[in-house]
Amino acid sequence: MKLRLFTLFVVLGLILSACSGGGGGTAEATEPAASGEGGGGGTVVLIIPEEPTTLNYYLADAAIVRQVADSTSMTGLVTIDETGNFVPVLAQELPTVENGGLSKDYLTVTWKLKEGLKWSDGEPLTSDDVRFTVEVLSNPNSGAVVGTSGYSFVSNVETPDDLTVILTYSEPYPGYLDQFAYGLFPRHATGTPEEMSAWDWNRAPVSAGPFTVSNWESGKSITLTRNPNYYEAGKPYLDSIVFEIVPEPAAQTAMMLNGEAQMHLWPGEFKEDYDSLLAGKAKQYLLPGIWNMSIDFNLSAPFDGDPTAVTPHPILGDIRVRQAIAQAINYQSLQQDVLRGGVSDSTNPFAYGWYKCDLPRKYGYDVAAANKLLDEAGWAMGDDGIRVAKGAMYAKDGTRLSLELQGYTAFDPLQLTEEFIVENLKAVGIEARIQNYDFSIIFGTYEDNSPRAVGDFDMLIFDRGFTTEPQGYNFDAYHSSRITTAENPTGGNYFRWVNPKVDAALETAGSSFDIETRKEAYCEVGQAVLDDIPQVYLYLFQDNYGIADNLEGYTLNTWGSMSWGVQNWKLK
Amino acid sequence: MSRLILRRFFKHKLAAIAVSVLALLVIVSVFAGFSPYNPTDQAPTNSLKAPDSTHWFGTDELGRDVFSRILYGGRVSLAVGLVSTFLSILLGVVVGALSGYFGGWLDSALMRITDAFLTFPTIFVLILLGAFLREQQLFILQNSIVVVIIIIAALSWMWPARLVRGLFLVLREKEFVTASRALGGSDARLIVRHILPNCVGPILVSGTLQMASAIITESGLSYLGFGVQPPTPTWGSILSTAQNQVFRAPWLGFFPGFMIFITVMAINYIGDGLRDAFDPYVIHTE
Repeated sequence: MKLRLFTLFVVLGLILSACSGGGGGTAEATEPAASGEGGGGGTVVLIIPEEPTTLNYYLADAAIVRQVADSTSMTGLVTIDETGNFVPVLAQELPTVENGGLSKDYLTVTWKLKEGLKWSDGEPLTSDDVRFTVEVLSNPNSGAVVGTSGYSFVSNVETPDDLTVILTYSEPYPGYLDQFAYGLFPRHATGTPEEMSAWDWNRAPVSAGPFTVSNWESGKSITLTRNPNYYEAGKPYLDSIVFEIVPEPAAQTAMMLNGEAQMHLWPGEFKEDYDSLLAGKAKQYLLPGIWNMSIDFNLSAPFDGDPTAVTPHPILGDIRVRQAIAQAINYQSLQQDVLRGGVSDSTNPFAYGWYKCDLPRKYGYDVAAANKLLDEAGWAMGDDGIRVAKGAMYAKDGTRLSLELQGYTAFDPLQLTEEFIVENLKAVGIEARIQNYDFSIIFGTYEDNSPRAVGDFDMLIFDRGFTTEPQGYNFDAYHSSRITTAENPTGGNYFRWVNPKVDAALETAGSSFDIETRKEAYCEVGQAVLDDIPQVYLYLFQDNYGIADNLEGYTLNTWGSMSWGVQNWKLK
Repeated sequence: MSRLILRRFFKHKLAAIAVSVLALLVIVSVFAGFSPYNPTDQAPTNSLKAPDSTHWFGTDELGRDVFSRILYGGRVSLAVGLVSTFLSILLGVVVGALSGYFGGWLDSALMRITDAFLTFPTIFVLILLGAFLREQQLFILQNSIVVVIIIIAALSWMWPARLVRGLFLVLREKEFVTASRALGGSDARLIVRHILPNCVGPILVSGTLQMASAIITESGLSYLGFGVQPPTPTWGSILSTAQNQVFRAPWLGFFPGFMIFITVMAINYIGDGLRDAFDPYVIHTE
């Protein structure tokens, strides 16, 4: 059987790597190559744990795509720098009301391209390529899965000359900059918008980025060589970069140990261990990430064939039970002892970016308070240490205080968190049963009967993240019109949470261009999450990279990826 | 007869050792309750400690005692191996016996079904079946160990079925069967009393091999996350959480890996011994 072999390999692999420090991976020679201007900086090897299926960001089904694509196909009109601000890339400047790029009614945006831009194949990059990008991403049949928000508001595109693009919007769209931060499509080297998912371009993109794919060995490595037509003169400094696909965490670290790689995505070891093991060779760097872990409650009855919010959840429908759960969790121990500081505290959805809300945790760790609250709520301690309903709000007498905790498999920090919380909840007489599903099931669609979408769950645990333009995601997650039902299968309000104040705040945030007004509105939503407890925020992941000491010029960017800014990298 | 078989079996030195090793593992797992710690008790401030006199196999990421977890994990892993093998042999024998004894259209039908099961790509069936079984609102299926046992049995009965069918095809033509039939023996009597006892040897042998593979499949399932749900320890799940800690805590991966290794080895040697013991054609010269 396949599994048998697989496991034997795992056992063997573990023993071998424990003894010898592993092996695998080929070192790339770092001889300088003779090339025109720039380059000559040698080769850098980057370790990635899995293979991207595409280098087209708009088709990205996994976070790994961007980690590679940022070095080639994702050079757009603007980008977001490490401070969270937009900076022009292929555009001459950011269109604003002050410089006339954005009309006073916010409905017309004028972009000016830099002069003399070329694609990696030498063809000129013009305003028509921007128009083509809009054509593709506004086409509902393009197959794009991310980065399409706002394109439906673009009602007209004009290109008076090769450098100028004038976009007309049907309604004001605050994310007009973010839209163009993830790369352009060349009209001459792709295909029709409807066939985007089948373009050859997806795996060998003609791009405006610093590198272009020269060799892709499936399951092994992706090699990219420098784009001679890159817009910044003299950059990139390196001749080529190689993404080595190495799934085994121990083998990855061994490569860093042997100096076979210079950049290590998401090392499995804690920083203190990594730094002492690789002392003098590499260090681990942590930076605030965007993945915010929470437990989500189902406020409506599960498994009743009714996904709407009409019938309250027999146990979780009572806010006192949700509050007791929030107070049963030892956040500090979870963050410091279990996850060893690889995470930072987070209390609400808006934990980073310009919309960050520093709201204190309303219901912190307090076992005595949690026990008292559950007693009051009609949950009496049973003989086996699990509480039983005795005059509870919605549950019939005799109901055990037992809840399913659903997560996804094969992600170690998530599983540790689950196991830790099970023990925390046991201490206040709540039984939590872990039920982990494959990624594709837990994040599946309504049509696929995904438990999250059809409302067949008690508690969900997963991490969510959004970009500098948070409106789309949060409107979808918290607005009462977005409760997932048969009529509204794509809705993202899995809690089945209805709060008119939240609805109003989200509508304000979505229609204003004033950052302060928007931030205030989002913080109102964040406070409502703390008050109503449709979910409990646990922590914010930090992104971590292992970087060899002889690599310089890199920028750690929360909004970017491992290969963001690769044109500035140099080997010492 | 049985004494001869026993004597032959214990002549196989490795098999004899293997039996004592397996017996020890079973006893230790059954009495896991006497382990020094509760396998789910956490002490996050005391995590990833190397083996010492208080924690013989060290502690894991949540500060749980690995020795206790290995003992309890053995319960699950060995139970999964034994029960799923029993179920798969039971189903396999029924299908194989009916198919081999009656032949004709029944044989064709049952064997085509068997072939169909053999052609399924295992991993996809595992994922689908796992998700399907959990969705059923049956009390017994709320227990993920039961689900894992059903999944493994459902995917492994084809081998004993084919084996038993082959044996029946040969044995039903033998004189003693014809004689019994001439004396008025019913089909059921012929199958159960006369043919089946002659198949015991090969069935036992294939059973031991199957059990070894069931334990490994369970490890693989836990490893992939489709198996027994945390925090219940199994050897496979302990192994899978160890991989991020290879440099810091190599013992985390070593102990469960070693347990799986010696269990599977032991069972395979027992299978070898049984084969020799039951094989009438193997002549041992004193």
